[in-house]
Amino acid sequence: MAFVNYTDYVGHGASLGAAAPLTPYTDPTGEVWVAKGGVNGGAWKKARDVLHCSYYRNTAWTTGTSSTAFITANSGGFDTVVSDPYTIYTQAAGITIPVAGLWHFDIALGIATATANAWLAVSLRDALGNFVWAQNTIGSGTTATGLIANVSFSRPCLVNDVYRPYQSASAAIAGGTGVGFRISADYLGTG
Amino acid sequence: MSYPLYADYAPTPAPLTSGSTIQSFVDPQGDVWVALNGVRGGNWYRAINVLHSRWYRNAALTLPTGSIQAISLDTAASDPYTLYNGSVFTAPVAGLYLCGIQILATATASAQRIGGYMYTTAVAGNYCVGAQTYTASAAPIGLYAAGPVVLAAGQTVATQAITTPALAANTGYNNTYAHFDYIGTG
Repeated sequence: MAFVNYTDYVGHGASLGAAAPLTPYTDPTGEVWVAKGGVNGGAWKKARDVLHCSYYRNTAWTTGTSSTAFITANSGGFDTVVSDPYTIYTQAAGITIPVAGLWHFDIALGIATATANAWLAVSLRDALGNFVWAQNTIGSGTTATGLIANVSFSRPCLVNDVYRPYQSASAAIAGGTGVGFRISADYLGTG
Repeated sequence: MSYPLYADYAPTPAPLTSGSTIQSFVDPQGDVWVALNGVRGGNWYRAINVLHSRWYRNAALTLPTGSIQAISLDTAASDPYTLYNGSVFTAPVAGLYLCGIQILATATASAQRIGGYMYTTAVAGNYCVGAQTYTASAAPIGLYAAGPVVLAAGQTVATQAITTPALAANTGYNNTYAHFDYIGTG
């Protein structure tokens, strides 16, 4: 493989100071870079490598019977971080998109053991509460058992778009906890 | 981050002509490159471009019942570096992988269970991706579950499923399949 010779083709400048907000930069080849004070020493990193967040629900919770945002205000939210160096997700607010582009989202919520005919609905909605993706799972009509609903999709997003997980179930049921019950957002590219 | 001036900004090693494992190289800009002897002439390619694997079930398959068990996806739709061996994916380099599984079947009655999962050695004792639902009637039913998983080089992700009672999977490229996609260093 032969390469063209480049002279400092990136050109994003020095690392950012400790208080600097997340800042994007698009280099002359179209690659998007980001830097944020206090994260990775303020150094510039390729957005596709570092704009990822992942959390799961660790503490016990109970499903709501009407569709509500799964955030702190409703005793919900994903309370344990796996990785989120640039703070894309907060339990109080959900996901806030830091850089425009194509993003991939995954949510998984479950109920441990439900009565027969139970159901669980999970969705991701925008800041106005509009659906952007949803999945319902249905329980056995005859057997009490667990359910897991998984929302997984990609979509183009704008900077500062807000997305929140929502949930509802057929009754107040103990929700699933552990690493399998999670939310993630992943920047895939400029789209 | 400051960069020196480069005359060869991605000075990858020479193409591989020996060995049987994937080799990786991080260029000065932080991009991960990979190469494997015998694949594409052993040339170096960006990991984010080529570390993608998709397999589906082609032969008839009765999905496991009784407990969550491994299922074999027997046909590669695309997997130039052979990252999946028919039941287990192995990460060739550390990074963030988007892993997804779809299970389709045709229920023979209502109230039948179907679940699809992925288990990883990266999370002890826990599945990393999964979904589970029940049938409403004797009709086709399916699920898809996906999520990003941070993996170290050599860590594995297994494809697993359960149905109650045992159901035949719907086979073919778009029906019962799994994918594994490297999406960055994480």
